[in-house]
Amino acid sequence: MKEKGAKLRREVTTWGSFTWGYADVGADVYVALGLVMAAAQGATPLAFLIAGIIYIMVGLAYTELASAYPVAGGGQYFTLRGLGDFWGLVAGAALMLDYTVDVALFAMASAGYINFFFPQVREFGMTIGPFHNVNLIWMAETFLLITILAFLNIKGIRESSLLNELLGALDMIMETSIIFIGFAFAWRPEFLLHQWRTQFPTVEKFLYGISIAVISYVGLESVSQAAEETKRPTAVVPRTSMALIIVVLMFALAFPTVALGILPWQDIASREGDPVALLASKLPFVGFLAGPAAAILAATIVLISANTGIMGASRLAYGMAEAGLIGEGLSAVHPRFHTPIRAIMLFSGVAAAEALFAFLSGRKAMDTMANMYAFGAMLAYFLASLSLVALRVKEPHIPRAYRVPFNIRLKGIEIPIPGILAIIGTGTMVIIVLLTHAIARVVGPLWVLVWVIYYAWYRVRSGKPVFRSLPRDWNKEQLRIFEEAGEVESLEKLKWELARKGIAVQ
Amino acid sequence: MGHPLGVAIAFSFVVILLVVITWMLRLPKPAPPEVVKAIYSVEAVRRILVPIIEGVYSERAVELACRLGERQNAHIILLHVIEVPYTVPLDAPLPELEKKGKKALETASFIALQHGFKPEVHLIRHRSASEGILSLAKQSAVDQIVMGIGLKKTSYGEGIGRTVREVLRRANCEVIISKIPVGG
Repeated sequence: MKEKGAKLRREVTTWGSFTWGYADVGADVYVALGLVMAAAQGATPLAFLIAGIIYIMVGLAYTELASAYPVAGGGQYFTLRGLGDFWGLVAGAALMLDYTVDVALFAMASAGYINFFFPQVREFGMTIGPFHNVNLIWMAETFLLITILAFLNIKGIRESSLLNELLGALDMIMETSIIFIGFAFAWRPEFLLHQWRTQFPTVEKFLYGISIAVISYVGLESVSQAAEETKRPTAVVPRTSMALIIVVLMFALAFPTVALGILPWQDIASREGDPVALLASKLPFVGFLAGPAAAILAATIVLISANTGIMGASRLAYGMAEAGLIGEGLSAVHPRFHTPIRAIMLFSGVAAAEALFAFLSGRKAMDTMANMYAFGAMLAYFLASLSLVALRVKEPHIPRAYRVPFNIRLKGIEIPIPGILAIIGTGTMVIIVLLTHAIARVVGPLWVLVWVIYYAWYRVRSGKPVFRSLPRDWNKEQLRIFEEAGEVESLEKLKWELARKGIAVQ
Repeated sequence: MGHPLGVAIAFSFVVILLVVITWMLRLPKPAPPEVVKAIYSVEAVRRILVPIIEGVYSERAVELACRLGERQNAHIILLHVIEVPYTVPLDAPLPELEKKGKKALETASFIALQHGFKPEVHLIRHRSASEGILSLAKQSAVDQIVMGIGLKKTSYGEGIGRTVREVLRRANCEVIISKIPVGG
């Protein structure tokens, strides 16, 4: 049934690559808006802007890295290559936390929005042992959605990508409509300024707001994860990444700006589950349609985000297994569907377990999940940004279809200033998350620790070093990557560079 | 309609979004592999050696080398070899030849500087010009040698002198000969 040696198939188009990222982002803004508003209050657009500046720096780093190394694994692979096996494992653990939380949180939210049309189901609750008010029907719906998405992902990247492409386009049209109608017909700049002046938060709340706002920007990682299955990755990935940076920034800044020019922040914060639905209901002309339309919009957005989570988690596990960081059985690819079937099944199961935990933990579930999400994202982004600089030093000869601009030259090596700023920005955010998020401060590092323990056990058992990296011929690996991607130009460039440096590749 | 600023933001938002998406989707067509190989084999030339052999032809060779290396910002190496006869020691004073060589290199450097290059200049002594060229080419790991010559009758046949023939025969890198008829 499963075959080691079968490869992932290149079926992701330009629009597909873009929507893998946008799918994450569309839903993240949807969830983050209410949570950030509750913390950053009248300064919410500023919180999104500060988080956005860090995102631009990280985004540029990801654009360079994903176009130079178009393989499954994303930030984990870049870290493995730049900083070594151990830190690659830490980055992988942080990203895995994000992807599985993404699946659990958004499958749960999608089922919740579907239940907008079935109020009895939404209100249903029963007591199971020490747990009160557990909605078993909603939980069953969530598990069903995760199962369907897992099946779709096993079936093939084309099928799961098609779902994202269609729903992503629909969501973008609907979100653009809300922003356009909101700004053109209902927005009052004086009301926004009034809230800015009178409702500015405390420093601690503002920092908390920024640390939650960063979850709106988790999406570039998905583009990198799908790079190994993207057609012409060195041409497509830089374009989709750059477009994603601009588009996501536009949406992330437009939503809080338009919302605070129409509604008091308290109203939006009180609807942390569906703030965009509330915003839509206050719009002229379309307000009467807002309830059902926003429910459908939300259900689809969060569903494709969950879909992205399954793709991301499975490709990440595939990449880690290929690199010898975790059990190699997880890199098995289905011979017919060409998808990492074991990784999809295992991490869909982990996501389902997290959803179960969320259902049992009650109303704080969404905030808890968002905290964990922010911790995982910032830790992984910090390591990926470090890797950008490390790889500029270690592998300057690898052709990069895109290079981060504004470099300083040190001993013949170009060090990107935005990369340095990304390291400082994401490093600061990790500290802020740990200082301001009570649950993430404990559960986040604990999750990473569990992975490190498993990693140490696996490496010792398989006779591999724990803290040292495995010997690898990265030049040979890079030639293989470009060859398999059909990237003739990069391949030729690398061959010339290696020949010029007198590096022989076996 | 609402506030004029809101209307302006709304339209700007849609226009920017459409421009970005359109730019993203309009990918340039990939070049066929054989074309890429041909293009890159030229782009990969990063170190070009121009031996200054004779007057106007060598100056034209420098101009050609600069144009060939412009796109990839190649490193230009200019060389003049003073051929010292076996009858005198290698370090014997040869002021006339030295002066002539320096002058030729100054002119060649001027051309390279005009193109924005900072050329590496070598004035060396050797028993054989071709040996001097080949030895520097190897030592500096050059990718290409560009030589300019005039068409003239020699004892080795028409047009190509001994130095050029030796370089052509023994060089381990690409050699481009720019041959111009005398008076051309």
